[in-house]
This record gives sequence, structure tokens and C-alpha cells, in this order.
Amino acid sequence: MAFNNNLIFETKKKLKTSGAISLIFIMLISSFYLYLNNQLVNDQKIFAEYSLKVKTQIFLINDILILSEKVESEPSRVVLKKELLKEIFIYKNEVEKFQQWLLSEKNQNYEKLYLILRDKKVAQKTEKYLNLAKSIARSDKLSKQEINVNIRSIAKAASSGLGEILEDVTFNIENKRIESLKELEILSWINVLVILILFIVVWIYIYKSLFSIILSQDEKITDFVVKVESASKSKTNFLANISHEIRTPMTVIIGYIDLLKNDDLKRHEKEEAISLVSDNAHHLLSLINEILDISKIESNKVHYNFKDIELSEIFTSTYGLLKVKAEEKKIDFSFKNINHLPEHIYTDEKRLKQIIFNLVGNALKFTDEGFVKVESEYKEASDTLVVYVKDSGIGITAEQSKRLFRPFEQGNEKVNRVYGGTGLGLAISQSLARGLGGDLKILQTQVGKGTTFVLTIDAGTSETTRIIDTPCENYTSEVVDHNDVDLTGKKILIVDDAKENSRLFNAYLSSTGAAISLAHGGKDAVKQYQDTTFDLVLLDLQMPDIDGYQALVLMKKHNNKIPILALTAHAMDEERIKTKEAGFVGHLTKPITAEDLILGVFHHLKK
Amino acid sequence: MKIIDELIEKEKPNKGLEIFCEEFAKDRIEELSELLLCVNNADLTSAAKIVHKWKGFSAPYGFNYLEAMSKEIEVLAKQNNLDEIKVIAEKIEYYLNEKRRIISNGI
Repeated sequence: MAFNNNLIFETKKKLKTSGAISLIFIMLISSFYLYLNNQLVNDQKIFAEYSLKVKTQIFLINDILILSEKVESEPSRVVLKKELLKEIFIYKNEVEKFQQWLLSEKNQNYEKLYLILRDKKVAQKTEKYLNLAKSIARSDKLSKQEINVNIRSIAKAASSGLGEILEDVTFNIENKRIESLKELEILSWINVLVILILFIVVWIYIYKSLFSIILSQDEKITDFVVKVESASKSKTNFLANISHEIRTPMTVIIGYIDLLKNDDLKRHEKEEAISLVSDNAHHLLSLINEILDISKIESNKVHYNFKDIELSEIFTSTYGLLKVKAEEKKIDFSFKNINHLPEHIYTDEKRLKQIIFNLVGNALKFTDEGFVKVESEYKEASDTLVVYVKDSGIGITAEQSKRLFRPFEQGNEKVNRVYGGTGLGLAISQSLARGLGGDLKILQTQVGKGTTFVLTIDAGTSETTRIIDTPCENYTSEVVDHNDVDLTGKKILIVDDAKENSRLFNAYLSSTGAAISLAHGGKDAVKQYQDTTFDLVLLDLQMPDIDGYQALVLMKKHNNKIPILALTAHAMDEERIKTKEAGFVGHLTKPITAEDLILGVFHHLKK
Repeated sequence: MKIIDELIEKEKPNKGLEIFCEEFAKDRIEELSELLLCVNNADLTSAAKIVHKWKGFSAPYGFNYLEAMSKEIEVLAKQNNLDEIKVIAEKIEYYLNEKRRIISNGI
């Protein structure tokens, strides 16, 4: 799992950018809000001032009425006159102040009010009424009553003329004030809304995606930790299992070697002991090889050696190595081509053999009856070799198939106990297949019915690669009773320096009706081969004059069409591969039963 | 040696090879001398070659004990265990002589 550093960096950058933008935006809105608020507050002040100014004028007008009350209450005319003039003087000052204010104050927002006041000449009219009041007060000719009537008359006139105007103006001012308060309220709500929208936008744009990334990363981390723990547990289980797998054969080997030291052991017991020691030693060796392979794969240290290889040789070799197993279990074992295959492919021969041998070996291991078929086809469009390994074995459950290719998990512990194995083979094979430019998968499987694996590898052919016109040889191991084999008319040369072997093989093969010739050395064999056209040669490898390999070369120079089988006491896989590479078409191991010899000869003569 | 006698009684050659058994026993006795010579000279490589051959063809001729002993000697030769090989060689000698006697007498 890779933590996305770029993603974290980008997210941090986004956060910083959006944070800066948000901050600037909020500052701008706040500044604008403050500005407007300030404006509105100022307006409120102006409202209040205007209202006060205009109301003052209204009060002044009303005060004119009060003057008339002074006229009635003050008995002394002289005092009255003096009081009246004093009051009028005060009022006049106020009117002048109002007028000056009207002239100086030209607030654009209240221009209309200003114009009304100016147009209606409120100040001038007020002054006019006060001058009248003043002249009345100064007059020596008017009586108290007359003064009173005149003052009342002025007051009424001023009240009806100016009062209403001023009331209107005050009403307008109040309305304006209320409107601006509402505006302030609306602005506040807009500000709150904008901040909310900004928060939502930031949330959606930044935080939501950030949280989903964090959640996703958290899931990945959790998943990774679970996988690591699972892998660690699997490795622990694997090591425990491997330890058991190693100890089990070692116990057998050590135990039976101790047993073999006993002189009183019966012959069959010794034979059994030696066989068990050998089998377990081979098993241990293959286990160690598997562990080494998986170790290399895990540490990416597998080296591939790509070169042009002969495809048929891979199949021939695998068939030759495994057909004995098939025959022991009486399973139909065959290699077939679905279409024409390239003669050579460019791949790692050793690894391809390893994969196919593992797949076919598994198929044979898990099949007790029926068939194991290996079918190959070449897909020219993709330059791919496809190999299907089909068996009629025990099959694989869905649960097992999930774990089948994992190196440290076994498909089924119970199956492994019954059939043996470490469970590494398929993991190794899949990794190697991928290294060869392909893959290994389960194509189909059914419990109790069988399984088909499909292997694909890059064929690496070129334009000059020859596609074989006729299919490669198909290899089949049909179940044949050796007693029914009829080789009448076939000429077979048996080459072995030990007459005991010659006699033995002669006795075996004579029963089939074949004409047998014997040679007791390499040179004798080559001479007979040159003189007679045989149908098949059985050639021992270890001979005193020239060995089997040298004899083979000489024979093939003369005629390379005749099948020559190696007949040797060496049964190791390496020896089989060596004989195959040398050019032997088959490898039979001594000691050999009549059945194996007859069937081996029969199959090669059938081709 | 009683065990060897019991084993001999149970051994039978494959059909068609009975006529070769006496000659087989004779040839093996001759080769046994060669084997003992190799062992005495500590030439275990040559000794292994001899028994390797025996291992390959003894059973069909009804010389199962010889086959089993050959396998043992091959293993001992790899381990350089001369003493054990000599012990087994003595047993083989008894065995082959007894086999030849029985076959000759038509028993």
C-alpha cells in the first residue's frame, strides 16, 4: 500500500488557499458590514438631529401659544412687554440657528427633507411669526386683551401653516429612520447568510473531500494493518507448517536409518525402509527447493534466462517424467495441441518446465481416477502460448480458490495432510508465470468433478518463427494391459553390457511377438544399428567400451528417425532431463518390470 | 544365516528366466570376488559399480536378497563404511553359494 503524499500535499495547499480566501472574504464582508453599519448609525444620528431640529421648531410654534398665556397672567403691562420681548428674542435666536443649520446641513440622504423644509421656508415663516409677535409686544397702543388675541391668532396661523409641514417632515424622518433600521437588520441577516454560505462552500469544497480522503486513507490503513497482521499470522502458521513438513520426513529418515542398522531386519522390511528413506529424502529436497524459490520470489531475486527453446521438448520432458505416476494410478494422461504451435518460443526454459511440471504433477496428485489432459494453443494475435491443464480430480471449493495462490496460506490443511505438500507450488508457479509475461489462473473447478488451470505466457515469437504445419506429437498414456500388447513384426535392439539384463529384457519383450536383437556393448550396438533397420532401440548408458551417450550420437548420425530409449539404473529427474537433452526419446529405469518395459516400448512404437 | 535360508526358500525367478539362474549365481560369485578385492583395496567406487549392476537385474532372476544387499552396499559405499560392506559381503557369499547349490540340485 502506498500513502499518497501528493494527495496530502495538495490537500494542505487547498486548505491554506481556501483558508486565506475565506479570511479575506470574511474581512471584506465584515468591513463592508461595518461600513454600512457605520453609515446607518450615522444616519440614525442625523435622523435624531433632524428630528430634534424640526421638533424644536414645532415646540417654538407651540411656545408662541404660551406667550398668549403670559399676556393673560401678567398683570403689569410693562413687565409683560419685557417678558414677551425676552421670550421672542430667545425664540428668534433659535429660529436663526435653525435657519443656519438648514443652510449648512446638506445631507444627500435627506435632501428631500431638506428641500421640503427649505421650499416651505419653515425658518423664514417662523421668524415672520415671531417678528409679528415682537411688534405686537412692543406696541404701546394695544391693550392686554388685544395683545392676547393677536398672539393667539399668530400662534394658530403658525401652527396651521408650519406645524403640519413640520409634523409631516418629522413623520418622514421617522419613517426613514425605521427604514434604515430595517435595512440594518436585513444587512445583518445577509451577512450571517453569506458567512453561512461561505462556510458551506468551504465545507463542501475542502473539508468534505478532505474527510472522505481521511476516511478512505483510514480504511486503507486499517485494511493494510489487517493484511499485515494476517500475513504475519500466515507466515507464523507457514513457518510452523514448514517446520512440521521438514521434521516429518527427517523423523522418518533418521528413524529408518537407525532401524536399518539392525541386522535382524527381514528383507522386505529393509526394502521398505530404504524406499521410505529415499522417498522422504526426495520430498525434503523438493521442499527445500520450493522454500528457496518462494524466498527468491518474495525478495524479487528471481533471475530469468530468456532464450529460444523448443516447445515440444518441454511437453515431452514433462510427459516422460510424469507418465509413470499416471500409469500407476491408471489415469488417462495426454498432451494435445488445440492448434498449430510455434516450433520455438522465447522464454525461460527452466521456469516454464517448472510451472508445467508443477501443474501437471498437482493434477496427477489430486486425481485418483479419470484423466489428466494438457492442451495447448497458440494465440497469434497476442503472441501468447496458452496451456490448459484439466483433471477429473477432487476439485477446489470457492473458499480454497481464494487462498490457492497465496504463498503462506494453504488451500486446505486437511487436503495437505492427506495429499501432502507445502502449498507453495501454485504461488511459485503463478509468480513465475507472471515473470514470463503471462499468468496462471483457475479456469473452472467443481468439487468432486475436477479442475482446469490455464497458464498463459508470452511466446516472444518473431516473424521468422516457424509455425509447425503438423501438430506436435501428442502423448497419451491410455490404460493398456501389457499382456495384450502385440509387437509382432517389430524389430527391437537391446543394448546392455550385462547379459543378465539382455536376457531379462529379451524374455520380457519376446512375449509380445517382437523380434529381439541383443548387443553387449556400445560399439556392437552401433554396428548392428547400421546394418539393420530397427523399429526401436533400448540403450544402456553405462557400458565399458563406449557409453550410451556416445553410442546414441553415432546411431543418430546414421539414422535419427528411430526412437532410442535410455535404459538405466539412474532414476533421478536430473538424469531424465540429461537423457532427454541428449536426444533419447524416453527413459526407462532399471530395475524394470515386464509391464513397464512392454508398455514403455509399446507407447514409443505407437507414435 | 537362518534368515537367509528362509529368504532363499521364498525367492522365485520370473517366467522364462529359470534356465539362466544357475549361470547367474555362478557369475555373481565370480563378481563377488572382484567386489571383495575392491573393498579390501578401499576402491569403493568400483565396488559401487558392481553392486549397482546387481541391483538392476537381480530380482527378476529370483535373487531378491542380492538386490536388497546391493542397495545397502551402494549406500554404505557412499558413506565409506568398509566394515559394514565386508559384513554384508560375507552374507552375500553364503547366500550365493547356497542359491547355486539349491539351483544345481534342482531344489
